[in-house]
Amino acid sequence: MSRADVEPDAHRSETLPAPALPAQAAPRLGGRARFLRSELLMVFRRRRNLALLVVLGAVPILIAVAVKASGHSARGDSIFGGITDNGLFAALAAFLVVMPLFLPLGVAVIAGDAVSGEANTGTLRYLLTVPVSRTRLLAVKFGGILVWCAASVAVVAACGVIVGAILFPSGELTLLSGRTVSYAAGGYRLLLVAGYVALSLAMVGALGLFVSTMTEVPVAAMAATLTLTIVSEVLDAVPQLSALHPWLPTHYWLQWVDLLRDPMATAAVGHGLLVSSAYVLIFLSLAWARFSGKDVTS
Amino acid sequence: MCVAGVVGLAAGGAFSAQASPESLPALTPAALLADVQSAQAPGFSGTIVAQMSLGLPDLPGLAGGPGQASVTALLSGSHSMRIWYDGPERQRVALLGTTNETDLFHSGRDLWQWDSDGHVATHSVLPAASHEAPTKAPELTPQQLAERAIAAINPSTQVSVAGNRQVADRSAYELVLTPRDSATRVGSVRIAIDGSTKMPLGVQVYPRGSKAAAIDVSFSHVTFKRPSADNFRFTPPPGATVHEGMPGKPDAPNTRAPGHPTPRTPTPQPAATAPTTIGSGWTAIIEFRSSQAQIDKATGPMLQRLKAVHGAWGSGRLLTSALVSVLVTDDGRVFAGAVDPSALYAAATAHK
Repeated sequence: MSRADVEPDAHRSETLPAPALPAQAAPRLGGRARFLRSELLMVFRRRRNLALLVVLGAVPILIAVAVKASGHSARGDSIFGGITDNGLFAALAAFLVVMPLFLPLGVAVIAGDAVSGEANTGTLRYLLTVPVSRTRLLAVKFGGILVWCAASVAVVAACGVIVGAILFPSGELTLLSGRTVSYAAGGYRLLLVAGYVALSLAMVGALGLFVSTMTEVPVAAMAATLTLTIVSEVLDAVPQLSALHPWLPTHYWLQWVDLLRDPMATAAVGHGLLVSSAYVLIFLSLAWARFSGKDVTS
Repeated sequence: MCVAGVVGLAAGGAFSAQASPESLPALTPAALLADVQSAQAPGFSGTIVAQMSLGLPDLPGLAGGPGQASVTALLSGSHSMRIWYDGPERQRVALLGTTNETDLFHSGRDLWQWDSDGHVATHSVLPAASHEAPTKAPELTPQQLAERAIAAINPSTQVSVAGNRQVADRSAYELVLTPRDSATRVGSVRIAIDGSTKMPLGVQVYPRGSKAAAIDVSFSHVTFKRPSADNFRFTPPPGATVHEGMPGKPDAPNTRAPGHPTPRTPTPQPAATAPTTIGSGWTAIIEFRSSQAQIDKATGPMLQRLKAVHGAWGSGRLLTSALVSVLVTDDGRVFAGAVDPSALYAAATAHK
């Protein structure tokens, strides 16, 4: 357990469930929770990752300030144009901006680093010496990625709501269908949107975890994850490949817009969730197949 | 787990594995047509997906951007719309763009058009005599498309009922209209008719010799229940720009959102004539004349991209696709039809 020498901000050494500890009699769940906690501490205490969250949080603030400064000129677009009427749209517009690149980038960094980062710093074999099954290790890694997805989405939404409430009115919200709902109902829809976005990102997380089991170079895993995500987005933009589109993992990424219609259109959103979960299952199984039989040398 | 993922993907990829359609009692085309004509669903709501692969060149002004829901953009690509129908008095149609929406609310004599881009609401009061919505969008419902196709049935068309099909998770008859005239580019028109309500659920137009439909307007989801009255109500939200007038009428003030400039037709010049039809049935060709200035104004830059053609009839530009051909001659005549270009040349020669 010499991880602390390698990386000063690693905390795994304190919190790993070690068999020699008297805590052996403690319920298994407690051990699992501690394992996840140590993983989360490692993710959320890294300065690089915190910087990613700051960048994400800055996006809605930038958008809202820019719209406020330019007056009421964003009328042409439904979602950006809504900002001047209701601050909640600042968060929604931010999702529109960060969805194609910033959010997947953050997830690719965390997920790509998950296994290959440990292999790279030489801590992976120490992790595997403790009697924790590789499946459980992978599950905890993916748990950490899911929490990261939720956190990055929450940062965008929270910053958007706060800056929107400060700069713009926060009364009734006009939906895309031209009907109004109360601010609370609008907030509920934003919550649904955030949940949908987070689940869409879980696909990138699972992909990143899989790629991460195949290399010991974290940057390669991050780059590969992001590249594959962007390739999917590019393919989705080529009309000649329309037959392929419903199968692409990113095809339904902007489908949360349907949650802003009245009544909510849920069919395509459901498809999107199904496609995302299917890709999550596929990549997790591939990651598991790869990792459980992997010869760990570093 | 991986297998489950693949299965889930297959289900999610919009190609959900379809259960074999339950067999419907056999019907002759005539009986089916009669059922269709008498069918009157008291109310329904659903989602219609229109897929247009006419093979038209990518022309500016023809296709809206990927995120735009406007009536002109319906000519190409895939578009979803939601529809609520409660008899002839109350309808609502919502064209769904990627990040926007255009709505038409029709309730009694009130007609509202809502554009989420620009927050523009346009109100018009329909004349008491006709409560029909004077807009093009509802004409794209399977019902109206089917009625048009059925109206065109005459000795020129072979009508048959093909095997059952699943449309919007419902068993449907498939009425196949095959033109007898081989000069038309239309291979067949296939109309899916709901087995129990006999309401048309989808219309597909196949070009001759093609296995892929050029036009496919079908319900992806439908519920035969009267939608609640709340769906048809519309009051302009606070902060919206409200116009009073008839949307789409040339004498109305330009009420389009700035994002969708409508090419405004200039006042008719003496050279322009009303469209005339040459021939009949599937091979009918529509001809109209307009002055050169008019053509330049409306389609100038777009026209330059088309293939230049010339012959005994003169010279001009030709647009061809799997389904339709359009010929614009240099002296301002326009011929269009679901026929080969040679038929257009012949018409242009005969109608100098």
